[in-house]
Amino acid sequence: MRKTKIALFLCWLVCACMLSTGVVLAQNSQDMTRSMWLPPLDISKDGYRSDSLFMIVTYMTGVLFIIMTGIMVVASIKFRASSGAKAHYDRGDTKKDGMKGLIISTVIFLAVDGTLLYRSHEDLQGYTDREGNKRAGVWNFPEATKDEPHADVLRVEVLAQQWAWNFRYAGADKLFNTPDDIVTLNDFRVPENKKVLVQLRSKDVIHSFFLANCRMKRDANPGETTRMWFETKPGTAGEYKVTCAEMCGYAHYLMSAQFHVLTDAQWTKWEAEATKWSEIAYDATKPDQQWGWEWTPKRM
Amino acid sequence: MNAATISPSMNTLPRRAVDARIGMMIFLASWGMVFLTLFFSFSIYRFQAPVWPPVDGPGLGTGAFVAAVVNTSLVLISGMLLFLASRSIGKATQPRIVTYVGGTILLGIAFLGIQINTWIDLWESGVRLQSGIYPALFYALTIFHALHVFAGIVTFLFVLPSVRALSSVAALASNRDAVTDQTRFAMAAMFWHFVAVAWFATFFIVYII
Amino acid sequence: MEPLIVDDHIHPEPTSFLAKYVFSHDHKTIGKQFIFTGLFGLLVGGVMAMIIRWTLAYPGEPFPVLGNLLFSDTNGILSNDRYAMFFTMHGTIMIFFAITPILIGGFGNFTIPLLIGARDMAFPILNMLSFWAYFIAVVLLGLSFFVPGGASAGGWVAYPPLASAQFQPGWGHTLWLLSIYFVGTSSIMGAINYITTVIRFRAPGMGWFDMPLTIWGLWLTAILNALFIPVLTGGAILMLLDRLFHTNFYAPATHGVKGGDPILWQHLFWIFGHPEVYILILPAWGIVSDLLSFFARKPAFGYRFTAISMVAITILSAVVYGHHMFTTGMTPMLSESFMTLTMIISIPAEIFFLNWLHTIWHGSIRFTSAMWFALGVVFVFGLGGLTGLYLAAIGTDLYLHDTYFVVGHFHLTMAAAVLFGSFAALYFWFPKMFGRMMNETLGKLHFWTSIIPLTVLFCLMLTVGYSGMHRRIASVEAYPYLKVLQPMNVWITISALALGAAQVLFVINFFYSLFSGPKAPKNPWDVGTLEWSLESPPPYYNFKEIPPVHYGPHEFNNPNSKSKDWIGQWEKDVK
Repeated sequence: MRKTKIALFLCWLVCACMLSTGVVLAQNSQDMTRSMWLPPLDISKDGYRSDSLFMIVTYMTGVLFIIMTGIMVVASIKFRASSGAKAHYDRGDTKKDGMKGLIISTVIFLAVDGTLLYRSHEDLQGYTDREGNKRAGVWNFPEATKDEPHADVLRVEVLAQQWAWNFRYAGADKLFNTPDDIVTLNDFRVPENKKVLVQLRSKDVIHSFFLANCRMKRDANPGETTRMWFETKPGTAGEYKVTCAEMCGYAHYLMSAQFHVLTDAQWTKWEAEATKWSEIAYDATKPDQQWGWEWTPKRM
Repeated sequence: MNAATISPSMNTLPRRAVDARIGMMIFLASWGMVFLTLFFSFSIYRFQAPVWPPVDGPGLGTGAFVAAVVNTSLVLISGMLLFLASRSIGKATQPRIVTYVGGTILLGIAFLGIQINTWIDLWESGVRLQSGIYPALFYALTIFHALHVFAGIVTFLFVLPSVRALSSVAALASNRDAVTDQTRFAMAAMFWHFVAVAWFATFFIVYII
Repeated sequence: MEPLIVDDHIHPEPTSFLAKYVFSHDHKTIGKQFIFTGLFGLLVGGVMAMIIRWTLAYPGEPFPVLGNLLFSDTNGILSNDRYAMFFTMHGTIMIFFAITPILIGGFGNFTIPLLIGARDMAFPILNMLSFWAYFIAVVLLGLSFFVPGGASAGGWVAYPPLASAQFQPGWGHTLWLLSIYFVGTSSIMGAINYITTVIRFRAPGMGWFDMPLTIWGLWLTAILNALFIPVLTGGAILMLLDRLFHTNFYAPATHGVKGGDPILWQHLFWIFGHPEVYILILPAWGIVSDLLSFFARKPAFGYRFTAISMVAITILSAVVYGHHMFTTGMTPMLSESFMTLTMIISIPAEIFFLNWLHTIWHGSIRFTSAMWFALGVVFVFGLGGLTGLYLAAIGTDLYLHDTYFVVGHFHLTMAAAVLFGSFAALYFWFPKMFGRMMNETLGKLHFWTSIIPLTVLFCLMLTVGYSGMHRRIASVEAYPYLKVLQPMNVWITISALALGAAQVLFVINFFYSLFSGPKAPKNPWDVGTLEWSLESPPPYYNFKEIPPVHYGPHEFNNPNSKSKDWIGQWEKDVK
């Protein structure tokens, strides 16, 4: 018995040493451009909703988990047979016991899951943000796009393929798949503080358009169009990444695009330049250049 | 063993016979899910398509439809024959059960013959597995079903000795394994009825909607 | 239906080697066959996991020892295409060839007849066929590694078009589909047996609510198996046609190809896939519910409510699959319905968590290895279950979907909880299976050396996922914002290797005890379920006379029993 205890203690000690080494190791990592315990910088106007919902869930489930583990630990110490604890004969199958369990569970359900359901519903369908502005909700396309074709909305068509992202901007005529489109490869540029509506398709397999900095993703499926929208905060101009979140073949890990958020001045400059270059590069005889589609406003 | 102890009522059947029936029911419920999955897939394609059959592939034509109607009636008749067969066990006044089961097997073979003929006709007229979603679904569903008809026929051939041992009151009276024999027949019959129901659903899904 | 007394004759035990050990009809032997196959699968899948982790933590460095053996053509380094193949096969092997055979095939077969007082399964020959169909599946999957192009590499979910002949040419994925087909057939055969046996072969006097909760878990699992494995089979048939006969069921309507619908596979897969999650975890829940009561020497608190909660979860599991597809472009209406249904599962789940805690409270807990592992399940499943909330809520799932957060979550629930459930069951039933005791000290050491790296491993996976690292990537080199996470990835890998190393303790304990452990008494744990009334190991036909059942499975410290603190279900007059 004594031997067992010593062995267990040693085992604990080894594990604890390993654990603390790990934490120290993690803290001393070089290249600390951001904390590894937090998500990447949030640049979207709705992204904070995801983060705060995450924290809400963490607090609520954290409390539940601590209570659960606490009960287990206390029970394991207090009710050891080796300390002479006597078991109570309690089958717990009376109606009262059942009701008690059901009520506790329902209360937890209403408090935790209820909050989540309500918050998620708001996130999707519309809510009032911290400054009191009405936001449309990330899946509420009719609300988000009701001012279309408003100048403040940028529309982009995205074609995913193994293993690259093609982007298409409508250009001056606001029509897609015309010679004046701006077409880029692995270079996604949007102006800051502006609604961006994206329609997604895929050339081959299923991909997923993931903007970690906007807390948003949407699958790009072959043969059908999906869509998503986001809006960056002012003052977030910089360089980020578009990633593919869905397994799309053995080079899946390389499939990414530059995601540039530009200031208004930068945007105007780039748009003019890119239009020029795209017009030069346009070749009506090349069918794989004409991959754009007519904008389909009604589809999800 | 007399006829009363082997009547199909579950409550009076010996234990192993009930076990077998329950096992068979679970198997059929489970296997029915494969059919349901295929029907579900078919319905998804069907209701996503703006026109049906899809314009980009060939349709099946009236010949196939007539053949399917004939097949449906064959399935219906064979099911009735089987029902009569199970009713006739242990009754002196009824024709021999072997006749009924033989009829069912023949109808099953005729069903397969008509199916194969339909496939050959369609295949030769250019309706291939690869020629579109509707033909592909047609072949997938009907061939998958026909394999079950084939399995049903093989099962009946396999249990024919048991069926013969149940064929008359005299045979039954001298049969010491009447319960086993009747269970075997009942299993085969359950499977056949399942395949029949699957055909009705296939017919409805492929030709009607 | 009142259970009847079995009128079977007791056949003599077969004597030839083939009939006794290979093509055995005996549920105990078949159970052991499944367990050994499953442990082998666990070893293969586990080694694969470590190689995968190694590649992520130390890119470009050969895997020690095994690396040069397996990948001599790439200097011992796991190349990117093999990386895809490895994580695909890791998932497939762990789910279908490790957990399924150990818990469902192995313990299902071993425990069901013994715990309900039957001589064998309802259909012993079908039971044998179930193992051999399963064995064919193992062979087919093993074969797929050696065909040109290698094994399937599109993720274990095999989403088309990536899984189509165009993007995965060769026989690898076709063999994968055939293998899944045989696993399915085996599971259906097993399920028919389990359901029928539990309905019909309970000992006289054993009502539905006198069954041990293990049996409840396995029975509900069998029902889910019977109903939802066929959905995968149906979907796999269409995919097989796509691959072999060039139909277009899952091919999209692009490039002028007459199109089908690639998303349909996702629906079919997850209609099967979500019940599958519960197929894997329900037996573990049942076993844990029993073991907590057995070793806390207290009746399972709210036994009836636990059983009813399990039934409720079984039913709910069939209607929540859409939460795997929130990002596919499903309508918001449908998505929100799936979110709500998913969250409703937390009510029954909370009920039996409460019952588990209530069972050990005021108990007199005996800390055996089996009990430690059972407590371990409560702990890791608590973690895994609660992290499920983040993924059920669409608001957070849109960010967390397909990141390592998902990986951490389902490893905590499906891998860790189920693995610990299997270990608890092994430590508990080992004496009954093999007639020898396992070493308790090594067992406890195994528990502590497992749970600590395991918790660190999967919790850090949650953290890297939250920090934005997405799944199934062979390296983070393309992503500047993920390079920060490299120390964490290294630490996950170290934990994974430590977890793997800890299993050596189990292997030593298992084989040492198998051959030279102390002889097990009839009832080493003082437990009252029916199998403990038998010799260890039980005779060929289990029960000479089927014992009539007078008590529930968890009668501990019953005030009526003065002589000992437990009552056997078979005992009549207790003093």
